[in-house]
Amino acid sequence: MGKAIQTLNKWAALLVLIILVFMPLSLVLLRSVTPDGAFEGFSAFSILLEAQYTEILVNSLMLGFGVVIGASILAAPLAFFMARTELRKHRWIDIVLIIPFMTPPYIGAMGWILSMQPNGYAEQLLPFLSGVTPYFFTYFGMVLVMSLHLFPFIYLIMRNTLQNIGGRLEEAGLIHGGSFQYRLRKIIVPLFFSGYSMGALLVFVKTIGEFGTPVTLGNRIGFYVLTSEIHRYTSVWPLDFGTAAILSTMLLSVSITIWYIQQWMVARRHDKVVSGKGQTSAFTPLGKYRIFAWIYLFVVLGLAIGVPYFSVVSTAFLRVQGDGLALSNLTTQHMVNLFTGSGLNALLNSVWLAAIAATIAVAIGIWVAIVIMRKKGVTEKSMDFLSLAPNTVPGIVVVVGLILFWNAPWNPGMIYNTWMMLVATYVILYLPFTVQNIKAIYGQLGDSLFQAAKMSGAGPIYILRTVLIPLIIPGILAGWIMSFTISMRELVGSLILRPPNMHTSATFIYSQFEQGTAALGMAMALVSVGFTTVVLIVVEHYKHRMQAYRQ
Amino acid sequence: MKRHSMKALLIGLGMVAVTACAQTEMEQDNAADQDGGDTGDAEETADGDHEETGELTIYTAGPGGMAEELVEAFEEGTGISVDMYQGTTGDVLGRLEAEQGNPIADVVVLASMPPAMQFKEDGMILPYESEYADRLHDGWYDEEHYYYGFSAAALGISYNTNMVDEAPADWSDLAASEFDGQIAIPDPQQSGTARDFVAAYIQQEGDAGWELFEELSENGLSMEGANNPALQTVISGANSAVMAGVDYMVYNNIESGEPIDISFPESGTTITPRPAFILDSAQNVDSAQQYIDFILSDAGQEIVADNYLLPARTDIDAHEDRAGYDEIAELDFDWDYLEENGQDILEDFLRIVR
Repeated sequence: MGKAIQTLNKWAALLVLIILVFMPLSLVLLRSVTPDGAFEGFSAFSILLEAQYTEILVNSLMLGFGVVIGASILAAPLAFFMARTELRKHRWIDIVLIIPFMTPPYIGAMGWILSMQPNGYAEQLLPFLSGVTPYFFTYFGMVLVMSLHLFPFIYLIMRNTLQNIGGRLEEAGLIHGGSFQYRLRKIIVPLFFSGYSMGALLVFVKTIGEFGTPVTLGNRIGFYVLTSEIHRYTSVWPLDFGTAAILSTMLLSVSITIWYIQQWMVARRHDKVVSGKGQTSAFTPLGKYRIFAWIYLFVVLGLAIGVPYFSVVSTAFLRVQGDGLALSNLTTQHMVNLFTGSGLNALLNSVWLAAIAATIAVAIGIWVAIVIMRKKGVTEKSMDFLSLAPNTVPGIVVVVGLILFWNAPWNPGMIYNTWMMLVATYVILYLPFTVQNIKAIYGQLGDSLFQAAKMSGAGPIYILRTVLIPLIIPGILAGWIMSFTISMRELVGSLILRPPNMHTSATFIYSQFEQGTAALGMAMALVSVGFTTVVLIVVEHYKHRMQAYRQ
Repeated sequence: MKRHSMKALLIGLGMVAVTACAQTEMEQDNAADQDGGDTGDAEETADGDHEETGELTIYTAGPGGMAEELVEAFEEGTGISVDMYQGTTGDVLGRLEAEQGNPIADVVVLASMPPAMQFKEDGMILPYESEYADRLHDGWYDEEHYYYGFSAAALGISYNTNMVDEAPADWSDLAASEFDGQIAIPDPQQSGTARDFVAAYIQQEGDAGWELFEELSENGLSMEGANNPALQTVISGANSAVMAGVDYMVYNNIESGEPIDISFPESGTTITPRPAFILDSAQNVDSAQQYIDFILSDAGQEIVADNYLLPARTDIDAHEDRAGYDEIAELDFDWDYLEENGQDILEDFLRIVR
């Protein structure tokens, strides 16, 4: 009986993923082999051999690897400081560190451009920088901007993993005479690896799937990647959905390959770090050297938040852009315009759409993660992949698939062209975050607690409620806040799928950049990131209290 | 300790409830889908006989303020309610392409002519002869009344008045050392107007045109995104001039006090009409025709003029603060040539400038 319910549950979860993820993506693939409605074989894929496309593939890969390295280098010391040293008392650092991730990528890139361009804010403030700024408009500039945007992501994963590697194991190592280096090599690094590799994978696919920075900065410096080319084919006359679909398939294959390699490496080891007994957390005081930790922190914050937000704030409060930085040139008029015009409405739309979407994404995420983690069959593996797939394809491709699927004449679903379409889009795009966040924590739970509960006669629902859910709450909250945050700033899907007469904060900003005044767009960016930060602080506060009982 | 576990339990219950809610919500969605499906079918499968949905759906390219003003005035005047999707020409085209299986829009407004011509060739436009048709500038609308360029933007050289003393009089002036490394053009891959300009310039100038592009490229011509991003680089002083940028954005920025101005080259430029048309698949044909009439009417054309675009009607004056239609020299080009050769010319252009 229980078995039947479990099987049914599994198939139901799979069905949801098929409807949400598989159908739209396969319709895109279908489109790539049937450009004019009839199957024309796979010969269309031969364009991939053309030098032009191999070059953009290489560009995408280079960008992906560059950003994984860049983000890891930025994040690793911070994760160590925040997990293991006296800096961990300062919870606010965690929140501040997420601000770069909440900043829409196109805003971050735009902020950097405004600072670094000739006669930009950097040169206005510090003229001697004019020798350095041109280097920003290169591959390294793109890696820098995207690393600064994505490092919080890998930081959170690294820090959580470090925290969860309890002190016991290391104490054991210490008692048996292991030196710091030995413990690092034999205990911390191996345990750290499975969490880290998942983070690195996500950063990689996030980078090669990212659209904002390549379109803002990449197109400007002639660094074209798969996403910017796909965007070109789907939105610039003459449109060519067929080629876009082929390039998407290419992007998808890269992601699948990387995903497979990561799975294979992690599958070789099973590291359970949270088991039945209580944990002590490891602590490595820095003593007087902590000044270096603080300096490092502030340098990173200065680059990740200081530079782009200086541009955002300046642009939002300057009366006449062309007159540059000057106290006499300040105005709050753009803020007033934002709240008296259509901006306020757009902001509120974003808030409730993102909240609904994050909640649904988390609910499905818990459901799917539990099914995936329970067994490792083919169905579970495919579900695992499906739940990750939206993150491996650029938003624009998912969006095209969503239109092809939800607006098909044979589809009875009436959500197309309504606000529900946006919610569905956000859920689909950010499901990977909730599933991965929950899985990351779930994967570290040992079996003993569940076995103990079973021995004591608890039913599956009871176990779920009293053992599993409380233990994975941090993952759930992290997943919620992440989906909420990025739904708030989601651009591509909102741009194309929003129903008539509806704006979100991101589409408002974009249309200001595209047609209106940059100042109004930057004012909106400031307000929406400010609001998200407040929500984040509240959620973090609860999350911290939830976690408190574990220590 | 005990209180903590109680709280954890409550949260746990809460999450289970959320999960359950979300599931039921989805089920409800599905149920609603099925219920809605019946009523929806009645409207949607009836597109053969054009049964009106009662709401006019317009997909329109910017400029933002103008699109909204037009719709508001139209709603006020006719009592017809409008669903408007406003984006760039690319957004609108992408959406139309993806919706081909089940079209939703009635009226489409673009900022670029060639796609409208292609739509006509593909039989996707429902022709309509407006009462105002014979009062429009020649060449701004389709002779067979498939589409109407109801407003237009002229391209010019926008320059930063703090950095440039004398207004450039022609495109070739940008090859001077004064502009070394400080000239941009809107990326013709993203801006339909810039793309048309490049092709039109080549049609008129031939090899001399390519020579100029090479000279400009050597002088540091860079592509800086679509129209507005390119203009922003001039406003902020990163570049001193943008060639082939749309004029109405410049006038808007002059109004807000930015130190910029625009000049229209002697050898000629392109004036790009912004076509509006009714889709063949439109369900609200009657309302759609009223909308076409409205944007060509006195009231509609006044709104166009107020937003610094060139009105399409010969008997309506442009905004007093901008260059009038007669003051702008046009290149000698035709849209058919542009539509036919645009892609090849673009590729050659990219080879030079990229």
